[in-house]
Amino acid sequence: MERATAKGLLVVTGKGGVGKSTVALALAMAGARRGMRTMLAEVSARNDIPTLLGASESEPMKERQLMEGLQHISIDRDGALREYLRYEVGAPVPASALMRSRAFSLFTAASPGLSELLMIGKVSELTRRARSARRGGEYDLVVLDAPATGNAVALLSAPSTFATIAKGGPIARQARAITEILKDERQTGALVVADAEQMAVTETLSLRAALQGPLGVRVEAIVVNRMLPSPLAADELDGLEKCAVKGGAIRSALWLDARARMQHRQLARLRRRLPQGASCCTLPLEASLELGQERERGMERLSQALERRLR
Amino acid sequence: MSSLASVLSKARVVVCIGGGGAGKTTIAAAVAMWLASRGEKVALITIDPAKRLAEALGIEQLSGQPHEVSPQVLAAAGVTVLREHGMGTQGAGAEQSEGQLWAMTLDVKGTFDEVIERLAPSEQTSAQILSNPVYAALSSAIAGSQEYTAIAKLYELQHMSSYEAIVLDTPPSRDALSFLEAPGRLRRLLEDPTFASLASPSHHLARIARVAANAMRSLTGSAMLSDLIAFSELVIRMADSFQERAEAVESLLHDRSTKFLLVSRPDERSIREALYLASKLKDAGIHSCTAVMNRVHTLDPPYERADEMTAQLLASMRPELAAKVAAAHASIQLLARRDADSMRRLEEAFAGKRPACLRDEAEGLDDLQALGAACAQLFWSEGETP
Repeated sequence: MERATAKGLLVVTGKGGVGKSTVALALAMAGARRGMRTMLAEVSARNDIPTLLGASESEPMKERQLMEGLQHISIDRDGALREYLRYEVGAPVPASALMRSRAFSLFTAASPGLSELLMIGKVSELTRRARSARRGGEYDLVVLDAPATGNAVALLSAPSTFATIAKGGPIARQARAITEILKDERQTGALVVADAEQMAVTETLSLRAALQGPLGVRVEAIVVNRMLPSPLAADELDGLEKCAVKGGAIRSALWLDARARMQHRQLARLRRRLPQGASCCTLPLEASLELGQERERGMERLSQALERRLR
Repeated sequence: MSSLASVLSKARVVVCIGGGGAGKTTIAAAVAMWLASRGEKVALITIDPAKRLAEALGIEQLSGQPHEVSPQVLAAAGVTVLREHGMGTQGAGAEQSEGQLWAMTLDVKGTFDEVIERLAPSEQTSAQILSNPVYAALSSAIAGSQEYTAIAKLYELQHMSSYEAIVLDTPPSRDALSFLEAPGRLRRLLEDPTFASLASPSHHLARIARVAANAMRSLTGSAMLSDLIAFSELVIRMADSFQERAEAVESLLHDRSTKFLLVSRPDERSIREALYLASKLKDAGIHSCTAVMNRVHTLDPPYERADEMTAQLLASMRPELAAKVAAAHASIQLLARRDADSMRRLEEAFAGKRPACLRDEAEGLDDLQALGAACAQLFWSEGETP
């Protein structure tokens, strides 16, 4: 946990539907609990994190407090472009005028990777040291709740894609700078979230390879989410299977046991295929979050579990 | 025949939409298998990053080219593709027809290249576009391309091949309906006078475009700007053809023989997303949509009252085991209640139409047998045999 949070930026990604946002929030809460001024960011106008705590959505591009020591932001492409034009470059025309220009919006829409670059650029801006109070102040830790697999790869490869196509100009220079930050394992790390299921495990292994390989982003840990407790002991299982009349209760117990067994098999499969020394931890299924009740307490428990299990 | 079966029995195009992880790929495959079992020649277009579907269907590698799934493989899943229909129109006696299932994956780059090659006015233009760096990045990089690729593939399969039914598994994207909106967006872009002004500097709008162009040049360098302009000039020449395609697909998506399946899981976040998609579909004028709830937990009949159940359990087993069983049952009961609630919410959003259901299998839906079981659950009523 110390090594992960020593970085400025932690990117949380994984297959769709495995609980990335929940784990990203748990991670950010752990950072805040340790006294780090933490920012949890979403891109592509996603605004799901506040609802995990039963709070209202955040206003786009506005840094908003979720709890003590933890801020949230929902980044959208137009907002990122507007900020970029206003603060980062000397545009020949005022930002507001450019944003109103249809030709300009056509150009920017047609430029491949520009939207992704602008959004990851805003995330990078949040990690800056000595960030002015006017812009929101400095953060010790930024957690990015990244999109699912394919879109996450597109987001993280946008800077280098763009630096290749656009040979000159300030955007290309910035793109190169962001590429360096992503590749520097002292500054950036990734967490890949998975379910203990066949498809998620397979996709996790290839996502890990894609992140560490071409993208050069160091994968700090794989987090296997929503694990059921250990399966029944052999004699207990035997006892249940031998019951002459299997009422609803016994069927439920057998079902959960079969699911737990499957999960543990998949977890073993994942661990077998990971290289030596690769970090892999599990998070328990948090019933309150599954059922949408007592969300704050459920998130607190999950966050404590994550802090304990990340090493 | 289940109610979902009667909805889809005359479909020529089935589009599966839904959030990431909902189970679109699995359900699209089950639908395609069922349509093939009815004697139709079916094309399944899927996104299969983990290659599990390819393995399950016995195809070495799903690619941009269709591969036939062997009838033996389907039979192993409990799906027969040789079918007897009812009375033929030609006269008395049953007709026998052989269904076929062909599967392919969305190959973004390949499809784009094909479209350009087909529509370009000359080989030279085609070569220019394919080697333009803006095109190179555009066609393989971003999520938006997948939507257009799905559309281009749909158009091609519909117009240029003999498939009787097409099942489309849509790409997961931030807005799962951007697939639907892509033809309209493309059409509006091509019709936009500003876009035209990029290609003809003498147009009076060029002056305005020049300010934006200068801004772009100072931001991204002049090389990229020239590439963009060159690319636009080339695309403008093919605008009419792109337009025609976009319009054809737009009307196909609204046709009565096109059915949408909205796939969702029963948890809060998935249901919220499904409700949002349902309302967007209505806004888009799409009314042929059925909900499919995946990974449902149901209350096991007969429902036992907690105290009766515990007494029975305690009588028959060790207290520690009885406690585990009671806890397991309580968890499933809670999940079943939540899922029933989610079903009700979807039912409301779909004007009282009850969603189709797939049970949450303890072992997960991974292999061919499981796809066959999904087929059976979705398409055959209780007690019916395929």
